[in-house]
Amino acid sequence: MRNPILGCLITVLGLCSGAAVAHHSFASFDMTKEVRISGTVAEVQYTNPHVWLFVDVAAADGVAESWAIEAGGPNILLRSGWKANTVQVGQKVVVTMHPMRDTAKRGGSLISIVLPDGKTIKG
Amino acid sequence: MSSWKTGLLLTLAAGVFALDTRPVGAASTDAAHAGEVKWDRRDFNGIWLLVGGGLDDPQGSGSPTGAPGGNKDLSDDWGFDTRPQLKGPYLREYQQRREADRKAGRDFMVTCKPNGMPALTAGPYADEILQNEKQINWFQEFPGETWRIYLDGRPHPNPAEYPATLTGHSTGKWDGDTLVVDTVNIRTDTLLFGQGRSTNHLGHSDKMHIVQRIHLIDKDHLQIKGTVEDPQALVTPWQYTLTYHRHPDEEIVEYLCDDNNRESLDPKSGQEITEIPPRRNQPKPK
Repeated sequence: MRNPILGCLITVLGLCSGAAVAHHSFASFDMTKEVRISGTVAEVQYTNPHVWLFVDVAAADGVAESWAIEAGGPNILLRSGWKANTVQVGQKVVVTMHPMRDTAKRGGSLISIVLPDGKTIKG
Repeated sequence: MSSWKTGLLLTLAAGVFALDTRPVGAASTDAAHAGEVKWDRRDFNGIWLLVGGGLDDPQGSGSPTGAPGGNKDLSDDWGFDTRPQLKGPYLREYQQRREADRKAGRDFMVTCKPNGMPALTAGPYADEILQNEKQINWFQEFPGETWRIYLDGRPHPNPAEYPATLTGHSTGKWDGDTLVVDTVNIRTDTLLFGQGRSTNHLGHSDKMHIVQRIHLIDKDHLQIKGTVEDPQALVTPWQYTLTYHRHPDEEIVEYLCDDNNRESLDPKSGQEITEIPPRRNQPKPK
């Protein structure tokens, strides 16, 4: 991480919080850690096989830091209540994720997202 | 109604069921289940999700992203409740594959390939069954794979003439309200359990034979009791049970594994790589 990020919390957990089903394993992500960010939705790529969410987090130097979060596919998210228009650009959200092992990349695998209305959706 | 008439009717009813002359798909809703809500014990049509899977209860306590069996090691169990006992080169192939996975730090090898039989029936996403008197099409959302069961009495084709396929060739016959499905001629690169395929065609032998007894436990629960025989690859026949929950309000969602796939394997290290897709609008200075 380039700078300490406001609103970012890293928790080291003893256990993986649950394997996810996908066409890939989750070797790129540290499933023993959780990162929580508070930021603004910058982009939603509601695509197969995985939805990608981009969230801008305010940083000390004034340049927003872009986080990329991989979520389930539309077939999972639709059934979890995250429809194509549920998460929209400009919304303030809190995202919890398993971070990428490569910490040079600000990315993660979604655990949950808290929407402006307080609703929580799992990945 | 007098008691002898009642007795005669019951005798006749018992005879009908003993002869089992109902056409395929005919409802057994009536006299046999008087007093119950009427439903057809031979009608498997609908959308089904594996019981215990995250998709069956996506916001519940199980895995949030659809893992059948909650926190099971999916790479080893996929959705099955038991494991087959492999032997010989088939066991060694499994051990080598798992060791390669372990060294690369992955649960299983990234793939968009269909799994084939029998893993298709334990797929993680929704199953859609479309059925008529002659055929059942069993569609698994991951990765959009269809298993066809022929009910019209046709025999299996000669394997010398028809190449093996991922789903093999399946024929079904009714045993009461249980559909007994016989499957042969399955490609040897399908895995008996786990996700993906065997790169050296040692998932099982070409003699593998699967018998699946499929029946409705009740209106909303479908069950498969499977037996896999393969004397070349298995120590003993592998028996498993899979149970599905009906979701009448669901519909299949298109799942395209390689549409915007950002996952790959490093050809040298075997490590799985997740590439962040290009962002269209870059963050601006404040």
